[in-house]
Amino acid sequence: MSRKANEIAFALKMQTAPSAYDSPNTTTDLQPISNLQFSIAGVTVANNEYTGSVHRNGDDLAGKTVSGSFNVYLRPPGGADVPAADAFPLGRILKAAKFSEVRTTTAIPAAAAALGVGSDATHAVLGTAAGTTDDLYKGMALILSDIATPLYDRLTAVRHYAGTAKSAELMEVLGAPPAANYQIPKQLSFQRDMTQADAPLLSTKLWLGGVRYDLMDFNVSGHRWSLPVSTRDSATQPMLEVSFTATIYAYADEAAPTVPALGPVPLFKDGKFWVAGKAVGGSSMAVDFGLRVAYPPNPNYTDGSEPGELVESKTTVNMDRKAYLKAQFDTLAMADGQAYYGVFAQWGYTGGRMVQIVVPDARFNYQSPQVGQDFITEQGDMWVDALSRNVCLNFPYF
Amino acid sequence: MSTLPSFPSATVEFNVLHDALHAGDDPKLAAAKAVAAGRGETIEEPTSFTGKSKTDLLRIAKAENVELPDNATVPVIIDAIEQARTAKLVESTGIADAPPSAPPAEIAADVSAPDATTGD
Repeated sequence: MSRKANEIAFALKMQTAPSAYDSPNTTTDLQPISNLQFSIAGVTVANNEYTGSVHRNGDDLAGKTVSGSFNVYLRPPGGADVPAADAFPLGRILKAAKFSEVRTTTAIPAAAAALGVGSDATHAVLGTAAGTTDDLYKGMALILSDIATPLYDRLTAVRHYAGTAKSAELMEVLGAPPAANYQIPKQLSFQRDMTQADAPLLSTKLWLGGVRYDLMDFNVSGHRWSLPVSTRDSATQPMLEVSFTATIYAYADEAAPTVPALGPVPLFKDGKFWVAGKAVGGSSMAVDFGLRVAYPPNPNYTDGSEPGELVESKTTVNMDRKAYLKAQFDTLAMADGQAYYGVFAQWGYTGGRMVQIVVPDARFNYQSPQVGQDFITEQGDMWVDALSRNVCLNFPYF
Repeated sequence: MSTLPSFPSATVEFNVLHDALHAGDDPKLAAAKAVAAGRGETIEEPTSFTGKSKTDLLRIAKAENVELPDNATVPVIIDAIEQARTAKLVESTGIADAPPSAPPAEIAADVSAPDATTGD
């Protein structure tokens, strides 16, 4: 019998303290992954001693580094209700990448209520039940009952929220001011954690063709969201690309558990893609969180270093987007001006199976025209500054 | 004007936050309660100070290591105890001031064009 490359499974759990392994459950803590790269590399130091001949001794072995990467399809949690706290395994990866898991388990208000007075095409003035704290609903999903016929198209998102006026600036520009009901739906949201606190660590089990590695101090060292548009010619699942470093706590021969089929992944199409107040065409979008992890030297540890810690994150949004006429969408002028613009993607059809990505404020780098294919497109970065809730991922329920 | 603080990389119960804000809590305290609820903890409301004598309040303040100015009056003691409890909860839940929110930007695109909603 040979060890087979398809016999891979992965389970993960939030680790309560550094260097203290918490064993994940082999049923409830499983997370399907794909495209795994796993590396155990020796840390070596050259032996420079002379041997009296031209022949040299081999390197001294100082330790090992464990690192790798994998992809996780961006599959919403499903079900009729928001999952219990920390019950969505994908959310654990996001928490380890410095996101807060924000559970809205009851819609606000519980029944859709009338909007206040003064809404326009870019703002919804919420009703009496809405809070008065600035930013309260920033980045969250919002249902406006009269902006579309299909339920899923009535979903939009809040870019900014001014508490005194109860005014929610929207991530899209409506065809007409909303004038009926609103509701903040139940949702599982992941909002960027902007505090100085260290990101939490994970304890994981990785089965690799009959061998189980228990990985401790599992650190998300790279994190990127890849959101390709599915077209009539090709389809690809949206996914999270995750890089990691870890320490081997234990390993043993053990067959991989069965990873249950979780159903199809919603594809990025038949949804909304808005940039700077315009619905734009394009073939892909990506959000790169630019994580950098470092390891504090410490001789009290086996390999001379403490567990990795996140020391830098610089977020950029990149997209391959249709190039428009200057009169329609002038990215050159927007890059010159360096103002902030929203980036909003939404897809899926039913509650618990929809995805929203909300970047309330990003600045344009210059976008370079691409002429190699049938249509002229533009590629380039948008920078996401260290602002409150600067990237949000929502799974609405309605 | 009050602004929502930053949440830590933990579970936050938004309805707890919303209800606490509605009840008049400071946003940091409300956020701390929401994080505590995400951990499965129930935050007990501060002991009612109604009917307590100054001696009782001084005993509570001492037990909770609350520093008081000399000759503190009853309202000052109550305020100090409440502030200390809030600070302790906020610190234990990792709530922090949020970085600034960006000022609203102007919509630059020609959104009145007929293609504004489909990207054509």
